[in-house]
Amino acid sequence: MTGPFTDTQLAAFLNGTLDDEALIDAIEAAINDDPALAERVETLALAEDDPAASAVRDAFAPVLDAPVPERLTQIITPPSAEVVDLAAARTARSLPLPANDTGAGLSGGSWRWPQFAAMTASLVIGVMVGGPLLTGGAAGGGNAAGGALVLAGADGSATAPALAAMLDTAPSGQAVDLAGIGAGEVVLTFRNVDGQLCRQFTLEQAGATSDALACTGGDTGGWQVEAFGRRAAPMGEMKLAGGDAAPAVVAAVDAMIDSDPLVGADEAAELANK
Amino acid sequence: MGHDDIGDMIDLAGDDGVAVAEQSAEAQMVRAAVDRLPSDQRDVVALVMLEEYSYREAADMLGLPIGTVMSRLSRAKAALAKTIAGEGAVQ
Repeated sequence: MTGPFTDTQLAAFLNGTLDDEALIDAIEAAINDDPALAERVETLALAEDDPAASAVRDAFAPVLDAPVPERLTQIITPPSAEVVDLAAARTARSLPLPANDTGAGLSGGSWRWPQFAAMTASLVIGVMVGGPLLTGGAAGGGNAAGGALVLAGADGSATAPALAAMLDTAPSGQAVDLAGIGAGEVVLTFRNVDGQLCRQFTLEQAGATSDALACTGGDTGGWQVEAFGRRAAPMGEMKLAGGDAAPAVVAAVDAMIDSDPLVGADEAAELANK
Repeated sequence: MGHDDIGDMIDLAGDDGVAVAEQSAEAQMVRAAVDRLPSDQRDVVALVMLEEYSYREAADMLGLPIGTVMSRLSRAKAALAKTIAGEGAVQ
């Protein structure tokens, strides 16, 4: 099976310049079937200078320069970005909860693989927003496996299920236990200028309180997180008008709100009709 | 694809208070392009291109045949090249 492919074809396969999809599939299948061919291609790969890889590494250099465990915690815990604008989270990727059981990840990996797997899925959003969407792991060297939360996912998988359920149905002012994530509470419900239903809410996890704003709509019709911010102080009297909520969230609410706050029966009706 | 506005991401990265280290337009573009990849391709990109694992190591970690790792990276590189070429007029 080593025969049919030329070095030129295999080199093009390796560097991504092979346009022929069927040929890509054929080479993949042949390599999978033929250890000798696999070795030949691996050898070719070693000889290849890969400018694309250099470009990608350069682009991610700020992350890559950190040692691996720190790199992981950087992704999971924002080093200094306490306030994170997630306006673009809709384009980001779902940030899965890292496996608490580090043995439960992909098979055959090194110790760090399960964490790494979680990280790669969120690599870009981690870099783009300067940290995770929410973490309980707090500043001083959080545990990477400790409990990040998916607030928003990029391709529209907008919110974690428990969170989405709270946003779908919970009335303002009612504390909700978000299984495994922490406690949540919607503090404000309104419609924005586009007529989308939006809800500001808090999340309390491992002693840290975060504020976020999510609106319906988007590609999947689910909730999309529009803003997110973390505050150091405990929850306390947060129902006092959101005045001490994270600035990014307050600003986002101010910018978007286009109705009176919806409460009581009105809120329930709007939720049923979002 | 839910990705329709690369500008969102660039705006985001430039926001005040967001601790993103260096932000050259090109780096942003490349990162956005990586983000647009399907997750199976992105995992391979992260391992082989970023972390510089060999194809075989990546295959072991992902539990995939090595040819599949190679083809995913091949397609990822093609997609990245296309995206970057398409957006290349940024500056």
